[in-house]
Amino acid sequence: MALRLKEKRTGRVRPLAGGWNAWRAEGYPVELVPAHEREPGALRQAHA
Amino acid sequence: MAASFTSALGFAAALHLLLALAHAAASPMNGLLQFLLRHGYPLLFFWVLLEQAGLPIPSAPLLFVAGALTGRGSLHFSTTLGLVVAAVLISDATWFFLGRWRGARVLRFVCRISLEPDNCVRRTREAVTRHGWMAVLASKFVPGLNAAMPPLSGVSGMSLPQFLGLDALSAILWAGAFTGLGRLFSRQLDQLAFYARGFGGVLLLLGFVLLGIYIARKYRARRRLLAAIDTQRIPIAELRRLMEQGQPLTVVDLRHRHDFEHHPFVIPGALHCEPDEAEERLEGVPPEREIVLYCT
Repeated sequence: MALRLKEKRTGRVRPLAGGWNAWRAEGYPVELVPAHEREPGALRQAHA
Repeated sequence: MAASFTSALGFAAALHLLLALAHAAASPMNGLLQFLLRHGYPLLFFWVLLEQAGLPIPSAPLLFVAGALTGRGSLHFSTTLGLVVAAVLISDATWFFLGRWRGARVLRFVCRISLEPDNCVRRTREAVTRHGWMAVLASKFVPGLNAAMPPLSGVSGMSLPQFLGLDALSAILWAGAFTGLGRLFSRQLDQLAFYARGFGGVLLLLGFVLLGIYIARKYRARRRLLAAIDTQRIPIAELRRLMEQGQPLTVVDLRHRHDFEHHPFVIPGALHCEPDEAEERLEGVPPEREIVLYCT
């Protein structure tokens, strides 16, 4: 996925080392996704 | 690599057994034939049981030879089919309950002992999401899906009667196809035995070489891919720092729907989407903006 996206973009595309489990294990903050945004295809605002 | 080695051993053992069976079937006095004919049923049962338990040892050649032996009257077709289906159901029901009891961890363990641990979990989940019960029915014919399907069915909350019904039907189709083919070609078993007698060693060596090339290519491709990804990974501490500094970046949550619905949280500000939607969903993001992807 990362390699495919990288081919189409000029900016860096990087996978997060350890993923979601590592982020949570460090105790870093997480955000609850509102119910109406969990539907397939619902648009989430990208990180500003 | 250990899984690849086990797989190579399993394949070689199956090939050797195939040749031994074919060889033995042509010479009735052969002690091996007597052994295999006497213990053919338990051998078949435990071999299939172990394959369904997750070991990468192919049962198809054995089923084929068993089918050929049923054509010669050495084994009973219905008993052979019944034993194979029983072995499949015992093993798959165990994985089903383990999946229900221990969740996705069991699925990941099963995938780890297959040849393609990197995409096995996601591929299995996608198959179930897209094709539902048809995926269970077809799973016996798709390498990789076979072992992973029972624990996933348990994880996804499928009812036991539905799973056992579909699994039994799938096992009958799978075992019936290979033993039926073997039965169809039972007359050619003598010919195969003749060739096995003359070229058995060469065939075995050729099988080893081809399998070795296949595994080596697969292993190299996987190492290259992992090396390429490794050099580009962003450590979680760096992502945290960039976010605190307000650096412009887009974080994308690519966890599977099952994981996300179970725990609907994301890294603050992250965009959640399915992997096949990611390219479309990121079209509006400026191409020079950094993107960080994460999954489970």
